[in-house]
Amino acid sequence: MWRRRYTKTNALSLGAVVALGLTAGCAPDGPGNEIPTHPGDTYSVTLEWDAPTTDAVGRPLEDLSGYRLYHRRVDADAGSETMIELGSETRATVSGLPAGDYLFAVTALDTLGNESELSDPLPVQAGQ
Amino acid sequence: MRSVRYTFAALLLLTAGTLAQPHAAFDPGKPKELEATADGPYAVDLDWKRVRGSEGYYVYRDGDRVAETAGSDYRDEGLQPGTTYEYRVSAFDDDGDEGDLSDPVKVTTDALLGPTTPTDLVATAVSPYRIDLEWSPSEGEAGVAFYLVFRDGTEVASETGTSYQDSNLTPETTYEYRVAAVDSNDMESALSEPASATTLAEPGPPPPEGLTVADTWPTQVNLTWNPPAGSGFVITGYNVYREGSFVGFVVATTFTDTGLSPETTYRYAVSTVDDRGVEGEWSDEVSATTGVPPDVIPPASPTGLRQVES
Repeated sequence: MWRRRYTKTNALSLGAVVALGLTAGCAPDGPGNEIPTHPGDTYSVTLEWDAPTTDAVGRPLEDLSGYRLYHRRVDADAGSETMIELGSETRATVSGLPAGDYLFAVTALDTLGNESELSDPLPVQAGQ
Repeated sequence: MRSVRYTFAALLLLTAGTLAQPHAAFDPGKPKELEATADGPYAVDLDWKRVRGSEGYYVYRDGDRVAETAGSDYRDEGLQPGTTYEYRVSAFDDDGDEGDLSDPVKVTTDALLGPTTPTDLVATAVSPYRIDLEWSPSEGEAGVAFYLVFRDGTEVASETGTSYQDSNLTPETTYEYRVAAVDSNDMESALSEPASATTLAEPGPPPPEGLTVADTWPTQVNLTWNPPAGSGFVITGYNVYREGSFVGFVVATTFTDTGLSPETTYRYAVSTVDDRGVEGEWSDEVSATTGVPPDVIPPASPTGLRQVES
Protein backbone atom coordinates (compact mmCIF):
# COMPACT_ATOMS: atom_id res chain seq x y z
CA MET A 1 0.00 0.00 0.00
CA TRP A 2 2.97 2.29 0.30
CA ARG A 3 4.76 3.67 -2.67
CA ARG A 4 8.00 5.52 -2.88
CA ARG A 5 7.29 9.14 -3.26
CA TYR A 6 10.90 10.07 -4.07
CA THR A 7 12.08 9.05 -7.49
CA LYS A 8 14.90 10.40 -9.45
CA THR A 9 17.44 9.62 -12.12
CA ASN A 10 20.94 9.65 -10.84
CA ALA A 11 22.54 11.13 -13.90
CA LEU A 12 25.76 13.06 -13.71
CA SER A 13 25.19 16.27 -15.50
CA LEU A 14 28.02 18.53 -14.56
CA GLY A 15 29.71 20.93 -16.88
CA ALA A 16 33.26 20.89 -17.92
CA VAL A 17 35.76 19.02 -15.90
CA VAL A 18 38.76 20.80 -14.61
CA ALA A 19 41.78 18.80 -15.32
CA LEU A 20 43.50 17.94 -12.08
CA GLY A 21 46.65 16.53 -13.36
CA LEU A 22 48.09 13.32 -12.09
CA THR A 23 47.15 12.91 -8.50
CA ALA A 24 48.67 10.74 -5.88
CA GLY A 25 45.39 8.90 -5.56
CA CYS A 26 45.36 7.92 -9.16
CA ALA A 27 47.65 5.02 -9.68
CA PRO A 28 48.16 2.62 -12.55
CA ASP A 29 46.90 -0.89 -11.85
CA GLY A 30 49.79 -2.63 -13.44
CA PRO A 31 53.22 -3.17 -11.99
CA GLY A 32 55.66 -0.33 -12.11
CA ASN A 33 53.18 2.40 -11.38
CA GLU A 34 55.68 5.16 -11.77
CA ILE A 35 55.93 4.37 -15.43
CA PRO A 36 54.13 6.88 -17.67
CA THR A 37 50.86 5.75 -19.13
CA HIS A 38 50.57 3.56 -22.11
CA PRO A 39 47.51 2.68 -24.15
CA GLY A 40 45.70 -0.24 -22.44
CA ASP A 41 46.89 0.68 -18.97
CA THR A 42 44.15 1.02 -16.38
CA TYR A 43 44.09 2.96 -13.16
CA SER A 44 42.33 2.90 -9.81
CA VAL A 45 40.79 5.80 -7.95
CA THR A 46 40.15 5.89 -4.22
CA LEU A 47 37.46 8.18 -2.89
CA GLU A 48 36.14 9.15 0.53
CA TRP A 49 33.05 11.04 1.60
CA ASP A 50 31.17 12.05 4.69
CA ALA A 51 28.12 10.06 5.79
CA PRO A 52 24.82 11.93 5.99
CA THR A 53 23.47 12.24 9.54
CA THR A 54 19.92 13.18 8.60
CA ASP A 55 17.33 12.22 6.08
CA ALA A 56 16.26 14.53 3.29
CA VAL A 57 13.87 16.46 5.56
CA GLY A 58 16.34 16.85 8.38
CA ARG A 59 15.28 14.12 10.76
CA PRO A 60 18.01 12.02 12.38
CA LEU A 61 19.02 9.24 10.07
CA GLU A 62 18.85 5.88 11.81
CA ASP A 63 18.62 3.40 8.96
CA LEU A 64 21.58 4.17 6.71
CA SER A 65 22.49 0.95 4.94
CA GLY A 66 25.04 1.82 2.25
CA TYR A 67 26.11 3.86 -0.73
CA ARG A 68 26.10 3.81 -4.46
CA LEU A 69 29.05 5.22 -6.36
CA TYR A 70 28.42 6.50 -9.87
CA HIS A 71 30.98 7.44 -12.46
CA ARG A 72 31.24 8.17 -16.17
CA ARG A 73 33.55 9.84 -18.53
CA VAL A 74 33.09 13.54 -18.64
CA ASP A 75 32.21 13.45 -22.31
CA ALA A 76 29.77 10.53 -21.98
CA ASP A 77 26.03 11.07 -22.05
CA ALA A 78 24.23 11.76 -18.79
CA GLY A 79 22.51 8.54 -17.75
CA SER A 80 25.36 6.36 -18.93
CA GLU A 81 26.96 6.15 -15.49
CA THR A 82 28.38 3.01 -14.09
CA MET A 83 26.92 2.25 -10.68
CA ILE A 84 28.67 0.34 -7.95
CA GLU A 85 26.75 -0.89 -4.90
CA LEU A 86 28.72 -0.30 -1.72
CA GLY A 87 28.40 -1.12 1.93
CA SER A 88 28.30 1.39 4.72
CA GLU A 89 32.00 2.28 4.59
CA THR A 90 32.63 5.84 3.44
CA ARG A 91 35.61 4.89 1.33
CA ALA A 92 35.87 3.02 -1.95
CA THR A 93 38.47 2.26 -4.61
CA VAL A 94 37.43 1.96 -8.23
CA SER A 95 39.83 -0.08 -10.35
CA GLY A 96 40.22 -0.76 -14.05
CA LEU A 97 39.66 2.75 -15.23
CA PRO A 98 41.24 3.59 -18.57
CA ALA A 99 43.07 6.86 -18.50
CA GLY A 100 40.77 9.82 -18.93
CA ASP A 101 38.63 12.44 -17.25
CA TYR A 102 35.78 11.15 -15.09
CA LEU A 103 32.98 12.42 -12.94
CA PHE A 104 32.27 10.65 -9.67
CA ALA A 105 29.30 11.06 -7.36
CA VAL A 106 27.87 9.07 -4.46
CA THR A 107 24.39 8.50 -3.02
CA ALA A 108 23.27 7.15 0.34
CA LEU A 109 20.70 4.35 0.84
CA ASP A 110 18.51 3.50 3.80
CA THR A 111 17.33 0.05 4.80
CA LEU A 112 14.07 0.47 2.87
CA GLY A 113 15.95 1.23 -0.32
CA ASN A 114 15.26 4.95 -0.39
CA GLU A 115 18.13 6.58 -2.22
CA SER A 116 19.42 10.10 -1.66
CA GLU A 117 20.09 12.68 -4.29
CA LEU A 118 23.56 12.58 -5.80
CA SER A 119 26.38 14.23 -3.91
CA ASP A 120 28.18 17.10 -5.52
CA PRO A 121 30.08 15.47 -8.40
CA LEU A 122 33.86 15.17 -8.18
CA PRO A 123 35.93 15.41 -11.35
CA VAL A 124 38.75 12.92 -11.41
CA GLN A 125 41.57 12.48 -13.93
CA ALA A 126 42.75 8.92 -14.25
CA GLY A 127 46.24 8.25 -15.63
CA GLN A 128 48.35 10.72 -17.64
CA MET B 1 -112.71 70.43 83.93
CA ARG B 2 -110.09 71.74 81.89
CA SER B 3 -108.57 68.41 81.32
CA VAL B 4 -111.90 66.89 80.39
CA ARG B 5 -112.41 69.46 77.80
CA TYR B 6 -108.99 68.79 76.34
CA THR B 7 -109.64 65.12 76.27
CA PHE B 8 -112.86 65.59 74.52
CA ALA B 9 -111.30 67.87 72.03
CA ALA B 10 -108.67 65.34 71.29
CA LEU B 11 -111.22 62.62 70.86
CA LEU B 12 -113.25 64.86 68.64
CA LEU B 13 -110.26 65.66 66.53
CA LEU B 14 -109.22 62.06 66.20
CA THR B 15 -112.73 60.95 65.37
CA ALA B 16 -113.23 63.75 62.95
CA GLY B 17 -109.94 63.00 61.20
CA THR B 18 -110.71 59.36 60.84
CA LEU B 19 -114.14 59.94 59.57
CA ALA B 20 -113.12 62.72 57.28
CA GLN B 21 -110.35 60.73 55.55
CA PRO B 22 -111.09 57.01 55.89
CA HIS B 23 -108.67 55.98 53.06
CA ALA B 24 -105.91 58.49 53.52
CA ALA B 25 -102.42 57.37 52.19
CA PHE B 26 -99.99 55.90 54.70
CA ASP B 27 -97.27 58.38 55.04
CA PRO B 28 -94.75 57.52 57.70
CA GLY B 29 -91.95 59.02 55.64
CA LYS B 30 -89.44 57.14 53.59
CA PRO B 31 -87.05 54.69 55.30
CA LYS B 32 -83.75 56.28 56.22
CA GLU B 33 -80.15 55.25 56.56
CA LEU B 34 -80.38 52.43 54.06
CA GLU B 35 -77.06 50.61 53.94
CA ALA B 36 -76.08 47.92 51.47
CA THR B 37 -73.04 45.68 51.92
CA ALA B 38 -71.81 43.07 49.50
CA ASP B 39 -71.21 39.74 51.15
CA GLY B 40 -69.09 37.90 48.64
CA PRO B 41 -69.86 37.52 44.95
CA TYR B 42 -73.48 36.45 45.31
CA ALA B 43 -75.18 38.30 48.18
CA VAL B 44 -75.91 41.80 49.47
CA ASP B 45 -76.94 42.60 53.04
CA LEU B 46 -79.37 45.54 53.45
CA ASP B 47 -80.10 47.38 56.65
CA TRP B 48 -82.17 50.52 57.34
CA LYS B 49 -83.72 52.45 60.18
CA ARG B 50 -87.03 51.10 61.32
CA VAL B 51 -90.06 53.21 60.37
CA ARG B 52 -92.45 53.71 63.27
CA GLY B 53 -95.94 52.37 62.62
CA SER B 54 -94.97 50.28 59.64
CA GLU B 55 -96.18 46.75 59.17
CA GLY B 56 -93.28 45.73 56.92
CA TYR B 57 -91.03 46.79 54.10
CA TYR B 58 -90.63 46.32 50.41
CA VAL B 59 -87.17 45.87 48.90
CA TYR B 60 -86.49 47.13 45.40
CA ARG B 61 -83.48 46.10 43.34
CA ASP B 62 -82.84 48.16 40.19
CA GLY B 63 -86.43 49.37 40.32
CA ASP B 64 -88.03 45.95 40.73
CA ARG B 65 -89.67 44.91 43.96
CA VAL B 66 -87.80 41.76 44.91
CA ALA B 67 -88.83 41.15 48.49
CA GLU B 68 -91.18 41.92 51.35
CA THR B 69 -89.85 41.73 54.86
CA ALA B 70 -91.15 42.42 58.35
CA GLY B 71 -87.81 43.47 59.85
CA SER B 72 -85.62 46.38 58.88
CA ASP B 73 -82.97 44.32 57.17
CA TYR B 74 -82.74 41.95 54.28
CA ARG B 75 -80.22 39.63 52.64
CA ASP B 76 -80.48 39.59 48.86
CA GLU B 77 -79.00 36.41 47.42
CA GLY B 78 -78.49 34.76 44.07
CA LEU B 79 -76.74 37.76 42.59
CA GLN B 80 -74.08 37.94 39.93
CA PRO B 81 -70.44 38.40 40.94
CA GLY B 82 -68.81 41.72 40.28
CA THR B 83 -72.13 43.42 39.47
CA THR B 84 -73.46 46.77 40.71
CA TYR B 85 -77.04 46.92 41.98
CA GLU B 86 -79.19 49.83 43.15
CA TYR B 87 -81.46 49.23 46.14
CA ARG B 88 -84.37 51.13 47.66
CA VAL B 89 -86.79 50.14 50.37
CA SER B 90 -90.22 51.39 51.35
CA ALA B 91 -92.50 50.81 54.35
CA PHE B 92 -96.10 49.69 54.30
CA ASP B 93 -98.78 49.66 56.98
CA ASP B 94 -101.32 47.08 57.98
CA ASP B 95 -103.70 48.37 55.36
CA GLY B 96 -101.14 47.63 52.71
CA ASP B 97 -100.53 51.29 52.08
CA GLU B 98 -96.97 51.97 50.99
CA GLY B 99 -94.85 54.93 51.91
CA ASP B 100 -92.20 56.70 49.90
CA LEU B 101 -89.13 54.93 48.60
CA SER B 102 -85.90 55.49 50.39
CA ASP B 103 -82.94 57.18 48.75
CA PRO B 104 -81.14 54.70 46.49
CA VAL B 105 -77.99 52.93 47.55
CA LYS B 106 -75.59 51.29 45.15
CA VAL B 107 -73.47 48.28 45.94
CA THR B 108 -71.21 46.01 43.90
CA THR B 109 -70.86 42.32 44.61
CA ASP B 110 -67.36 40.93 44.98
CA ALA B 111 -65.64 39.80 41.81
CA LEU B 112 -64.87 36.12 41.58
CA LEU B 113 -61.25 35.15 42.24
CA GLY B 114 -60.07 32.14 40.29
CA PRO B 115 -57.95 29.46 41.86
CA THR B 116 -54.28 30.07 42.53
CA THR B 117 -51.74 28.82 40.02
CA PRO B 118 -50.50 25.30 40.75
CA THR B 119 -46.88 25.24 41.94
CA ASP B 120 -44.05 22.77 42.41
CA LEU B 121 -44.82 20.88 39.23
CA VAL B 122 -42.39 17.97 38.90
CA ALA B 123 -42.14 15.69 35.89
CA THR B 124 -40.38 12.36 36.29
CA ALA B 125 -39.75 9.87 33.53
CA VAL B 126 -40.44 6.39 34.83
CA SER B 127 -40.16 4.37 31.63
CA PRO B 128 -39.51 4.77 27.93
CA TYR B 129 -43.22 5.48 27.53
CA ARG B 130 -44.41 7.20 30.71
CA ILE B 131 -43.81 10.42 32.62
CA ASP B 132 -45.34 11.01 36.04
CA LEU B 133 -46.41 14.49 37.12
CA GLU B 134 -47.01 15.87 40.58
CA TRP B 135 -47.83 19.37 41.76
CA SER B 136 -48.94 21.28 44.82
CA PRO B 137 -52.66 21.98 45.16
CA SER B 138 -54.21 25.30 44.24
CA GLU B 139 -56.58 27.23 46.45
CA GLY B 140 -59.58 29.35 45.61
CA GLU B 141 -62.78 30.83 46.99
CA ALA B 142 -64.68 28.52 44.71
CA GLY B 143 -62.48 25.56 45.49
CA VAL B 144 -60.69 23.57 42.82
CA ALA B 145 -62.85 21.39 40.62
CA PHE B 146 -60.00 19.85 38.61
CA TYR B 147 -56.65 20.52 37.06
CA LEU B 148 -55.84 20.74 33.38
CA VAL B 149 -52.60 19.10 32.22
CA PHE B 150 -50.82 20.51 29.18
CA ARG B 151 -48.10 18.65 27.30
CA ASP B 152 -46.04 20.82 24.95
CA GLY B 153 -48.83 23.38 24.98
CA THR B 154 -51.67 20.97 24.26
CA GLU B 155 -54.25 20.00 26.86
CA VAL B 156 -53.97 16.27 27.40
CA ALA B 157 -55.91 15.58 30.57
CA SER B 158 -58.06 16.87 33.40
CA GLU B 159 -57.36 15.49 36.84
CA THR B 160 -59.17 16.02 40.12
CA GLY B 161 -56.05 15.05 42.07
CA THR B 162 -52.62 16.62 42.07
CA SER B 163 -50.83 13.99 40.03
CA TYR B 164 -51.02 12.53 36.57
CA GLN B 165 -49.39 9.70 34.68
CA ASP B 166 -48.80 10.57 31.05
CA SER B 167 -48.36 7.42 29.03
CA ASN B 168 -48.02 6.18 25.47
CA LEU B 169 -45.06 8.48 25.00
CA THR B 170 -42.10 8.08 22.67
CA PRO B 171 -38.83 6.78 24.13
CA GLU B 172 -35.94 9.18 24.57
CA THR B 173 -38.10 12.21 23.95
CA THR B 174 -38.30 15.37 26.02
CA TYR B 175 -41.74 16.69 26.93
CA GLU B 176 -42.68 19.94 28.66
CA TYR B 177 -45.66 20.08 30.96
CA ARG B 178 -47.74 22.80 32.59
CA VAL B 179 -50.78 22.56 34.83
CA ALA B 180 -53.69 24.93 35.49
CA ALA B 181 -56.41 24.74 38.13
CA VAL B 182 -60.10 25.18 37.39
CA ASP B 183 -62.63 26.07 40.11
CA SER B 184 -66.31 25.32 40.41
CA ASN B 185 -67.09 28.54 38.55
CA ASP B 186 -65.09 27.27 35.61
CA MET B 187 -62.50 29.91 36.29
CA GLU B 188 -59.05 28.76 35.21
CA SER B 189 -55.81 29.78 36.87
CA ALA B 190 -52.69 30.84 35.03
CA LEU B 191 -50.46 28.04 33.75
CA SER B 192 -47.88 26.75 36.16
CA GLU B 193 -44.18 27.05 35.55
CA PRO B 194 -43.12 24.34 33.08
CA ALA B 195 -41.50 21.06 34.06
CA SER B 196 -39.71 18.85 31.57
CA ALA B 197 -38.73 15.22 31.51
CA THR B 198 -37.20 12.92 28.93
CA THR B 199 -38.56 9.45 28.57
CA LEU B 200 -36.07 6.66 29.14
CA ALA B 201 -34.37 4.80 26.37
CA GLU B 202 -35.89 1.57 25.28
CA PRO B 203 -33.97 -1.43 26.55
CA GLY B 204 -31.70 -2.52 23.75
CA PRO B 205 -29.90 -5.74 23.01
CA PRO B 206 -26.78 -6.59 25.02
CA PRO B 207 -23.42 -5.48 23.65
CA PRO B 208 -21.35 -7.79 21.48
CA GLU B 209 -18.86 -10.08 23.17
CA GLY B 210 -15.15 -10.47 22.70
CA LEU B 211 -14.42 -7.20 20.94
CA THR B 212 -10.84 -7.59 19.71
CA VAL B 213 -8.36 -5.64 17.64
CA ALA B 214 -7.67 -8.12 14.85
CA ASP B 215 -4.75 -6.16 13.46
CA THR B 216 -3.48 -2.66 13.00
CA TRP B 217 -1.85 -0.80 10.13
CA PRO B 218 -0.34 2.65 9.95
CA THR B 219 -3.71 4.17 9.03
CA GLN B 220 -6.14 1.33 9.62
CA VAL B 221 -7.53 -0.77 12.44
CA ASN B 222 -9.44 -4.01 11.96
CA LEU B 223 -11.89 -5.00 14.68
CA THR B 224 -13.72 -8.26 15.23
CA TRP B 225 -16.29 -9.43 17.79
CA ASN B 226 -18.99 -12.00 18.44
CA PRO B 227 -22.76 -11.49 18.69
CA PRO B 228 -24.17 -11.44 22.22
CA ALA B 229 -25.12 -14.98 23.12
CA GLY B 230 -28.71 -15.97 23.83
CA SER B 231 -30.00 -12.43 24.14
CA GLY B 232 -33.42 -13.13 22.64
CA PHE B 233 -33.09 -10.03 20.49
CA VAL B 234 -33.17 -10.13 16.72
CA ILE B 235 -29.85 -8.51 15.92
CA THR B 236 -29.64 -6.52 12.71
CA GLY B 237 -26.17 -5.04 13.06
CA TYR B 238 -23.63 -3.17 15.11
CA ASN B 239 -22.68 0.43 15.68
CA VAL B 240 -18.96 1.07 15.97
CA TYR B 241 -17.63 3.98 18.00
CA ARG B 242 -14.11 5.41 17.95
CA GLU B 243 -13.17 7.71 20.82
CA GLY B 244 -16.87 7.89 21.68
CA SER B 245 -17.96 9.01 18.23
CA PHE B 246 -19.99 6.93 15.82
CA VAL B 247 -17.89 5.76 12.88
CA GLY B 248 -20.07 3.17 11.21
CA PHE B 249 -22.83 0.57 11.19
CA VAL B 250 -22.06 -2.94 10.01
CA VAL B 251 -24.09 -6.08 9.66
CA ALA B 252 -21.03 -8.30 9.93
CA THR B 253 -19.03 -8.83 13.10
CA THR B 254 -15.93 -7.15 11.73
CA PHE B 255 -15.10 -3.55 11.03
CA THR B 256 -12.28 -1.86 9.17
CA ASP B 257 -11.57 1.67 10.32
CA THR B 258 -9.48 3.55 7.80
CA GLY B 259 -8.00 6.99 7.37
CA LEU B 260 -6.34 6.93 10.78
CA SER B 261 -3.13 8.60 11.86
CA PRO B 262 -0.01 6.45 12.21
CA GLU B 263 1.38 5.67 15.65
CA THR B 264 -1.85 6.76 17.36
CA THR B 265 -3.91 4.93 19.96
CA TYR B 266 -7.67 4.80 19.48
CA ARG B 267 -10.38 3.46 21.76
CA TYR B 268 -13.19 1.47 20.20
CA ALA B 269 -16.56 0.28 21.45
CA VAL B 270 -19.32 -1.58 19.65
CA SER B 271 -23.05 -1.76 20.38
CA THR B 272 -25.75 -4.07 19.10
CA VAL B 273 -28.78 -2.88 17.14
CA ASP B 274 -31.96 -4.96 17.06
CA ASP B 275 -34.78 -5.27 14.55
CA ARG B 276 -36.70 -2.42 16.20
CA GLY B 277 -33.73 -0.18 15.52
CA VAL B 278 -33.04 0.02 19.22
CA GLU B 279 -29.39 0.21 20.16
CA GLY B 280 -28.08 -1.48 23.25
CA GLU B 281 -25.31 -0.46 25.57
CA TRP B 282 -21.74 -0.18 24.41
CA SER B 283 -19.28 -2.98 24.87
CA ASP B 284 -16.20 -2.45 26.98
CA GLU B 285 -13.71 -0.38 25.04
CA VAL B 286 -10.60 -1.79 23.44
CA SER B 287 -7.54 0.19 22.42
CA ALA B 288 -5.71 -0.11 19.14
CA THR B 289 -2.46 1.62 18.23
CA THR B 290 -1.80 2.21 14.57
CA GLY B 291 1.55 1.15 13.16
CA VAL B 292 4.64 3.08 12.16
CA PRO B 293 4.46 4.09 8.52
CA PRO B 294 7.24 2.89 6.20
CA ASP B 295 9.97 5.44 5.74
CA VAL B 296 9.57 7.11 2.37
CA ILE B 297 12.09 9.85 3.00
CA PRO B 298 15.59 9.05 1.66
CA PRO B 299 18.79 9.98 3.46
CA ALA B 300 20.41 13.27 2.79
CA SER B 301 23.14 13.14 0.19
CA PRO B 302 26.65 12.26 1.27
CA THR B 303 28.98 15.25 1.30
CA GLY B 304 32.65 15.97 1.05
CA LEU B 305 33.31 13.56 -1.77
CA ARG B 306 37.05 13.62 -2.28
CA GLN B 307 39.82 11.67 -3.81
CA VAL B 308 42.41 10.21 -1.52
CA GLU B 309 45.54 8.19 -1.92
CA SER B 310 44.84 4.55 -2.12
